[in-house]
Amino acid sequence: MTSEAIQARLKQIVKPYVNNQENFENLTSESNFIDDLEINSANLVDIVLDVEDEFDIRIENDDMEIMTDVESTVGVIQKKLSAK
Amino acid sequence: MIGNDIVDLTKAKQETDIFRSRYLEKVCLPLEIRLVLAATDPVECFWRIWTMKESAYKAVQRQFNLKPIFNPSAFTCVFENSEVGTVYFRDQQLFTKTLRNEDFVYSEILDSEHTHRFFGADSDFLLQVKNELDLPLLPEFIKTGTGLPILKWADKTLPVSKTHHGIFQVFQY
Repeated sequence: MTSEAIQARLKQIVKPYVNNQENFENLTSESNFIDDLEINSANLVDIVLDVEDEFDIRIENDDMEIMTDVESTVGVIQKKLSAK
Repeated sequence: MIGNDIVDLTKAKQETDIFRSRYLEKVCLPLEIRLVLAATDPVECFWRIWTMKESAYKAVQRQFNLKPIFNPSAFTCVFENSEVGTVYFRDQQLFTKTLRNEDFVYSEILDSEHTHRFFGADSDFLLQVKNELDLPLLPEFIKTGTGLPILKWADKTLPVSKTHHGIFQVFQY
């Protein structure tokens, strides 16, 4: 799966947790979940769980560590998909 | 070190289901999950652990200028009594104090040099600091390289930890 395709699916996953709609509409690979999208940190856990369900992967807590922005999260998903 | 974190329990109830499958495992260690499940109020107990971890994270991030990470399970919580706890992270040991009522759970790092706490809006906080320190002008907020707040006036600075959730906002300084 291309990183563009993963990013498009990730955008739908994060949507319900976003508190800054303007930054969400202008989402880029550099968008930070907390600083730009103003997602509550407790909902980052939900995003990780939603990503696991959507892509049918399991993310260990050490991999989760860098999932604070779009680019890093897409990278973790790609890594897990290629290991399947 | 400073670091604080508040959870508005009404808002948290709307936003977060801690009993969602695998949710607790992403945040807590097995011992902490046992504490939560054995507690009289598991949700409140979970938020105590969460706010302890977040406070410790903010403190070490500021102290060691760490880039942002998201790994609550890298922080180990131990309850010393109903208020005081210990958080372990790598070779660090931090003590926390937790205040709780039916509306919120609030934790902060215990540090004898940063014992001030203010509940309220930014503007009221700046006025409070101005009055406490008898400053001629209001201090202003600036940020560290990793985005954490600092108060600045004239040639002086004061580290501040700020937490906001729902209707609550708290500063530790």
